[in-house]
Amino acid sequence: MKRRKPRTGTQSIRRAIWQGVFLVCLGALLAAGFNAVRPNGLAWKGAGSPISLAASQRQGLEEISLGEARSLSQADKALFVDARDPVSFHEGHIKGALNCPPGEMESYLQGIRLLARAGLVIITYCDGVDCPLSTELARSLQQAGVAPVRVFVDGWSRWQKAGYPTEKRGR
Amino acid sequence: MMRARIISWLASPFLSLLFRWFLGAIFVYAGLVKIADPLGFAHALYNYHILPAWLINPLAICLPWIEVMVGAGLIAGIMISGGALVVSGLLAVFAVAIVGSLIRGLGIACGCFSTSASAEPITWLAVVRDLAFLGMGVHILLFDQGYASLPRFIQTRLPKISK
Repeated sequence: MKRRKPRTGTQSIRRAIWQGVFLVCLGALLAAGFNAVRPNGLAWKGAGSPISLAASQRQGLEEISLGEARSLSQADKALFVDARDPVSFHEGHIKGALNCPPGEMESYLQGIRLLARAGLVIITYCDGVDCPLSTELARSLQQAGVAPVRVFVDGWSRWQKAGYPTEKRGR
Repeated sequence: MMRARIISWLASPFLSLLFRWFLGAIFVYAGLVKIADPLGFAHALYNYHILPAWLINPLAICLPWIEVMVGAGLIAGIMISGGALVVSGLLAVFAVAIVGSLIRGLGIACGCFSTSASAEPITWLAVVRDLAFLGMGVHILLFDQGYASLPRFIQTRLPKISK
């Protein structure tokens, strides 16, 4: 009977890497096959991408245009709620905005509800057309009974590009 | 004496076998949950804000199957070192992503064992859990001897049965 030579460290590492590559390729191949035949398969790009995903999630929520957001802001009838993370918020945000990532809604809910009752329109925004945070936040606020809530899609970029007032740090 | 005993127990291939079964089951389960809801998983990946948009869907399609493949491999003892390497690599990447999202205060769901965006937000406990799993992966990589593996069973038992 042939006796196998013990493997050296380098051989073992090389073997592990090759096995790993093989397993990853096999997994990817199976994934592609299964995704092609399943009825609710995901598109590799395009439909079903985060951009269209974000758009489909906005269904049932009211969007607000840049112009309308600006005029409400000028009339002091809007509360902008920035759904991005605190670091991005501190780097810059719409003037007077409140920072409330979706996960922290509970802590701000009471205040937001009071301001909505006082007649302010709650406008949630984040950054990028495919950003889901403002939608998630708006949906949660709506479910918690806050109205009116509007989503300002791609709010931060569009507001900045328009040259409307922004600030750093803040609430 | 006591120390040597502890070290030999810690480096035991039996402990490695336990880790293999445990991590294997975890990865198969996590993969199947994501395979069931690819769109939800794509969304969970997106929420981390670290991947370019073009990579999210391909990763949401492939990653769950890779998890299932390596998990099943670890349980059956097929390509153990490769499986342990992939598992450890994935866990290291997950740890970086989770820590990143915690530092940035994203308040997002983990997407580890559930694809629901409304699941509990990630806490530092997820990092501890991930690092514990990573430790198990490295243990397998270093100390596994291929106990209770399907290839070894076929190699040793089947010739006897056929005789």
